[in-house]
Amino acid sequence: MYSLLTLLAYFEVRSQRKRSFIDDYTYLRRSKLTPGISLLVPAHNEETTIVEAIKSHLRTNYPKYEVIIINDGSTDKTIEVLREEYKLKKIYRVIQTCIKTRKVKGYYISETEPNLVFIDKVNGGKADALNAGINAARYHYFMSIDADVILEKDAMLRVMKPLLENPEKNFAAGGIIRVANGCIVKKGEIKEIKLSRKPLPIFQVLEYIRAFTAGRAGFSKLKSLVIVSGAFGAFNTEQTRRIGGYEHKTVGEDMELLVRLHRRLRERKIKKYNIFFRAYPVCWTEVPETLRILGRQRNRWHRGLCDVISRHKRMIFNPRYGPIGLFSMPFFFLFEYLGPIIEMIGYIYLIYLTAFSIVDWPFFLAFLALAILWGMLLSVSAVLFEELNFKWYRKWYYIAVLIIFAIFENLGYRQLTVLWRIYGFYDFLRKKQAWGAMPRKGFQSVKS
Amino acid sequence: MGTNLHLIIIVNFIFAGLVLFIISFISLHRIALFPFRLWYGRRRNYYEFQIDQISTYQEEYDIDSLKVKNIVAKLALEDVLIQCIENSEKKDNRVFTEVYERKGLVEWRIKQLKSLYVWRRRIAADLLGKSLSRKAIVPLIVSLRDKDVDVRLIAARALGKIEAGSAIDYIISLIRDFPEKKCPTVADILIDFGEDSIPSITKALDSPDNKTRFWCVRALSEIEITDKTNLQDLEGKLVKLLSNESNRIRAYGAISLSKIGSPDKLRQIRKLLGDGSSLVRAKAASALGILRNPEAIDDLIKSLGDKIWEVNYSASRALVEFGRQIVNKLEQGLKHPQNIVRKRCKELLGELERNGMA
Repeated sequence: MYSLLTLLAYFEVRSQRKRSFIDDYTYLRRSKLTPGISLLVPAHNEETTIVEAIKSHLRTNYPKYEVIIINDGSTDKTIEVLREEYKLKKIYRVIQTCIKTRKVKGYYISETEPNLVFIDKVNGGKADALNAGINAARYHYFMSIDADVILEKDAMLRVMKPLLENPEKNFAAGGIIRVANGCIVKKGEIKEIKLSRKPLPIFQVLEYIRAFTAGRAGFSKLKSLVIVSGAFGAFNTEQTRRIGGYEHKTVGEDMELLVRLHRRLRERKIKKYNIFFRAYPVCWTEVPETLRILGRQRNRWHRGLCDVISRHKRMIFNPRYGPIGLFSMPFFFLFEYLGPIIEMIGYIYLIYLTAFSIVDWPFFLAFLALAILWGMLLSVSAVLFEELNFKWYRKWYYIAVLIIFAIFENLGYRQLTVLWRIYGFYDFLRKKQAWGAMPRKGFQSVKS
Repeated sequence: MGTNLHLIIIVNFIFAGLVLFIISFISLHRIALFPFRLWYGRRRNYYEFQIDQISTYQEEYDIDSLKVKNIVAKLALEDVLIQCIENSEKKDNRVFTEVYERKGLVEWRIKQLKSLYVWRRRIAADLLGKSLSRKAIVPLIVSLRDKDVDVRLIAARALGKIEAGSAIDYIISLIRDFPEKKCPTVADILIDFGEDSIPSITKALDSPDNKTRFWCVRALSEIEITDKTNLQDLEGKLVKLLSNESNRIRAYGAISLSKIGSPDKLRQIRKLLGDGSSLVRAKAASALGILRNPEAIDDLIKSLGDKIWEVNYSASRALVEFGRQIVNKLEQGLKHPQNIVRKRCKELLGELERNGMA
């Protein structure tokens, strides 16, 4: 399945690259017809990265936008940092409260940046913060962006393009997320793309290429995309308000929103709609560099996935929901939800069979080699995918490092992620809801 | 078990082979492209220096001495020139366009407009537009009849960049056969032409095709009009469009009329505040803000109570345009029976106070 998706993704990305030539972003950038967009940036304890991230958002060349930062009950110096940087002033503002949220303490505008709005609210989680932002959004489209990401200058133009082409049918679009660890950042802009010197971020580079780029582009080609990353996705504001915004009782709110959107549209017998993945708008994010934080992240991701599958289980193998019900949901159920459990049972069973001489050592080693080589093939294909379509890592050295890590990814790292996901499944069964602390290091800035 | 083991070993060899093949392919891909990149890079650096000399010394530099011997040199020179044109001010880019023409690049790309390969035609049209060469106008107008819709679009864009006023009628005629998603680009081109496109737009408003009428009126709603004399014909047509069956045309017709019409057009636009379509009501409110006729203030305050957010928001933005004139009316609005009207009046008073107007 992964190799099929990668193949489809290759053709989809090539096609998008060709089309990006025809789509003249100069016109879109200057056009008075381009509708406005509200960037929603939920922030909770982001004092180290928030200023750089906001600088990158304000640098965008999208013609009409507002940046809404929603402070979700931060306990660190997030508010102080923003107040000092942007000279925030409290205002009175009428909004339409379409979606219930926890209490909003106040609205602020910036004296130095006219496009900036700040909402201070009681802690309620990321989904709740986004819903508060959706209530306050003035434009027809909104984009949810994490506070620790850096957007490329024309990322918003590129991700909005498909939505603008057919606003009545195109409801959501997502872009690529890349690993910023090791890259040089100056004034909210990625100046030089480099690989991190630490092993964990490099493994994650491969995972992001494989899962985010190849996987999602493949699903988009099959018109069965069920996840637009919460770190970088654009949505139709009205449609999102109609379905009640983000679900705050889940940690997988980004996938849950999209699956619910699919479900409601299909249940209303609306089949002609599109949700896109765009390969070229790029958003850079800081990934965990320690095993503990990475483990927490993967645990949360898997809990979110389990929650979504559980909430929308009636869609699985249900032809009423079209390709979502017949392909995407079964895929996520079998390969992502059950996959880690089946894989772990497979390892344990194989060891058991060998230990009790039911199978002999040569068979055990051959079968183990098969599993590892298959994983290696997928990982190396991800490097090939990157080389043919993007060439972000221009130096020989980086590609060589990626290839080496692609080979070794399946000798320990992958098995670790399986363990984290199984633990995430266990936490899901225990109904654990917490996000877990995700301390940030901050982007590596150029010293003047 | 023996057979299974052999099968697994064979599959392992296949996978290992594929992994090695991919690694070799990536390495060879980089190696094979390296000489071309090096050659291209060196040519490009050379031309960058030469073009810099040309722009500094201009007439003293002999452009004929600049050698362009092969396809790599052509591509490199073209790349440098296009970059210079895009990065320079309008008054300075004439010299780069002249080099582009004298080095035969215009003729080269014009020939490619007739290529059998559609991508070559698209690229040629795009680059001719970026070159800003007026020699390309006629061939690009011919390309507006290309069988490929993207070639037609790119040719229209190119003509817009070159500011070929003679092509406006041809560009408008594209709208009828274009898919909806391409029409905003055509509208943008018309907006870029500014007031020069008004005569062609006026003619196009008589078109039986509603799509053409809509996109023309949409473009018109964004054009800054400084000379409002001799627009009676256009004004008359726009008034007729206010009763068109399409809500989009009524909505943007109102905006366009407010931009060019005299304040006595207030009555026609006020009627639209009661239209069944929320888009029309919202745009009518915005239009009244543009007209700034004080007789519209009461209607706009009433529109603050519209159930649709976009309408009441547009009404509030329109009221801001009146400035101090509305303060008394807003204070009266604080006692309005509708909660949303009271809230919006309070918000607007706060905004006017912040701006030093209350």
